[in-house]
Amino acid sequence: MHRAGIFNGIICGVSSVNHEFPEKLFNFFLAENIKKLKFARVKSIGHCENVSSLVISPAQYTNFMIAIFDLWLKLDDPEVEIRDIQSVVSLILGGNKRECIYMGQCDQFVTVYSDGLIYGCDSFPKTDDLCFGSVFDEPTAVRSNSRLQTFRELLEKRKEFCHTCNWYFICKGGCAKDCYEQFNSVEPLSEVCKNLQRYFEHISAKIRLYDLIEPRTVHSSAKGGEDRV
Amino acid sequence: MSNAASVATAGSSSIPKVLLQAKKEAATQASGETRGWDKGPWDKGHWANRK
Repeated sequence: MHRAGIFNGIICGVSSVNHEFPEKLFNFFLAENIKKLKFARVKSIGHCENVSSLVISPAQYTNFMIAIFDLWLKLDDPEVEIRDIQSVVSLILGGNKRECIYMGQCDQFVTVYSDGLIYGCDSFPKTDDLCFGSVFDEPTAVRSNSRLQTFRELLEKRKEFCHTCNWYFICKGGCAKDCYEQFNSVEPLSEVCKNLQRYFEHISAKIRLYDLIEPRTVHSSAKGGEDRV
Repeated sequence: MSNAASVATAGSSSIPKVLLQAKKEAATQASGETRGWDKGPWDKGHWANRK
């Protein structure tokens, strides 16, 4: 696929098998001339029971991503794109494009199953709470689906809860699945928040070394974050 | 912070290219200029607004 020019990049699962070897992984992909990367934490999401031995904690994943960020910065090759890192770096530098997990718009990402049913993001287990209709329904019926409306209201409550956080301008409440203990939770998991904050602070501190962050951006984030989107 | 910044800004060549590129792209985003990733389909591998 790479040779045929139809290969855009890879998503690499980060698990108990490889999370301690960020440099080895990073160098492997570069050696294979794979320069568009995304790393995703392997976590238990309720679909399968037999993945638990591969699951890593938010802290382990954060350690991995911080190491990857440092390697990316040290390499300093603009052709190397690591999605999550570029999203965070861009937002710290005043950009407004972001990966889904930092959009606060999880209702915009759905899963269509083989029977045509439309559910929420596939990060979630397939549950009735997130069944928004079918591809055979009228689009207006799906958009006004009561469960979709309930989900949207939940996302707004979460954003309201997080709005005073220094890093809200990046995460917007975070991934609706990963950052919360239960589907109906409004307050995010402290373990996830603590590690996201550590990750954002690490990247921000490195960027501040080069005086690239405009005072307006620093000021707004420290005050709870203006909504730049 | 101010000490670190003054050291790093002593010469602009010391700023990593990846950060300069990111700064440029952030400015483009903030300006509202339309780029390929807003038009979709996102077949260029860009990270913005993707799952």
